[in-house]
Amino acid sequence: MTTAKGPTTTFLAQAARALHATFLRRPRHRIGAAVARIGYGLWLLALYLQSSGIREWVWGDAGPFPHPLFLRYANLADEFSLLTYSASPWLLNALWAAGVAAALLMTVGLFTRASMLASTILVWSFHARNPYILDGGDNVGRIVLIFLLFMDCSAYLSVDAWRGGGRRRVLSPLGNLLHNVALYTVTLQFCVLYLSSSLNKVTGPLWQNGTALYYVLRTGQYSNPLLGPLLTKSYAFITLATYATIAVQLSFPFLVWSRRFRVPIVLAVIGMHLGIAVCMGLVHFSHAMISSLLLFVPDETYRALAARLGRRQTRSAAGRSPRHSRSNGNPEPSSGANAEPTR
Amino acid sequence: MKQPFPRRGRQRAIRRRLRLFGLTGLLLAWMALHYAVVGLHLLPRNAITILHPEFVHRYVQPFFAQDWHLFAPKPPISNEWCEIQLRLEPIGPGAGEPRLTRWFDVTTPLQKRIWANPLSAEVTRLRTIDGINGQYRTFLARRAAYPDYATYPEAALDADAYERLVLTLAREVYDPSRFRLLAVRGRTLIREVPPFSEYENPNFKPKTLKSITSDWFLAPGADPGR
Repeated sequence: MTTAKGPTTTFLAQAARALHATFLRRPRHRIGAAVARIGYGLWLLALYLQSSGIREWVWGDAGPFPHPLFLRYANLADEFSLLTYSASPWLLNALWAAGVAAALLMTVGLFTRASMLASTILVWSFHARNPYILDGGDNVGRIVLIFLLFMDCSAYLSVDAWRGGGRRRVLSPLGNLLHNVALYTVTLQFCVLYLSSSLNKVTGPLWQNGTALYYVLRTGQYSNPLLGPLLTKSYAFITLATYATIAVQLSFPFLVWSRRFRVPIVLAVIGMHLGIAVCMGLVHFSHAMISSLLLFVPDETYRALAARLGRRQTRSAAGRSPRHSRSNGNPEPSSGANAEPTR
Repeated sequence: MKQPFPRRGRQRAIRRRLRLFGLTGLLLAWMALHYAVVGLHLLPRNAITILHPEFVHRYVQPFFAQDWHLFAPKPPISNEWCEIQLRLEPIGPGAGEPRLTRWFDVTTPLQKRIWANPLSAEVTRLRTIDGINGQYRTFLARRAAYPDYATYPEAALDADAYERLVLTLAREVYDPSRFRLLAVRGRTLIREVPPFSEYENPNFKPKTLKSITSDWFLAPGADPGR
């Protein structure tokens, strides 16, 4: 017997199925989450280790922003920081060491959730302690770290996964939901970021006439002394690179949702940030951006990449091995325990 | 074995599923609201943010505050240097009168060291110096426009941070065994980048667009009369 369903019931059933498939069935981009975790772990390590020799100048009383001034700032800006509690260098050094340890654990994926929570609290504390050092990378890093806390970032490439014997933890539907909502929130955050930046660029006369990058690359602060003079000599490069920057940023919010164009647009934006790191010296900023962008690469792409790298390794190992060398007239490895399964 | 209360089990499963869908709906509604407020925070001032600035500010501060201009709409079109000048008093028998030093360029040596090693600690130092210097320039501009601006707590904080910065930098450039620091002041020089129309002209001489000099700041314990 069939029951007649009204259009509303059909619509609701379809919406429920779509919601279930998108948010509840399985956690998406788990490998991307692990890669982003490693990227941010290294980003935090770089922040702490880069300033290790001058940490009392940057975050302590030896520098231009001593504790009394910081307390005034924290009151005015309503900022949270563990460093508000004491001006003692002992507290600073203890929190700095804790920050390094938490970032290290986060990178290798040991006690992942706890180390990520500790890293987030500590980096907020240090960022609030000296707000003058913050750039766009710090801004995005602080926001993404909050959302990464709700994601399963330890399923791959982590000591926690290795300790579990390589078996992936099955999340509860609630775990899947939180993971996927956090993933979409970060994706939307990047859409807002690039949309805002590209619309601001479109309204700028120097971006409109294609000369903006010329000016950026002629300033002492943002011009690589080796590459800057070389690049600014070519007006064709300057014009194309300026327009390409706008095009890539403007298309990201639309193409990142498309299964077909997601990987190409992520690669294009990563290329743009690598260019910014090399030509403009904004390494810390680009590191944070690239770490987040790697989250958007689907698991299938990472698996395909790993399989391709594995095949190449097997081939090169076979090339080295006298048993499988081409001179023996046997170019392919024989089937055995280590051979790639055929598809 | 036959389940004793199959209907109750099914009802429980349906209730659990409904709760999950309800939670999904709530989270999606939060996501929509979150990005609506973040969008308002990023947009230029409009009717909503003018009439209800507190609502947007309270939501985004401190966790979701953001700014994505990223060199837009106007990229940097000038080079800037931060310099300091010291008033020093020689120490010891037969010491002379207090004297003024030359202007010490703080920015260029740091930039050179950063380009030699973009991962060095100098990156953090230069960012701190640039950050405080930028805030102080804003303070000077606003103080010139509104004389009572200096009494605002935010303005006083920017001025005090700058004073502390130039005093900290001054300590790095003189020999305390031979001199006593009396006072220090800072200066920001802004020089134009050759415009694109002149990019092939090797004889182009960039102009200094602005020179902003700070007040003198007394060193702790220094005699104001000296």
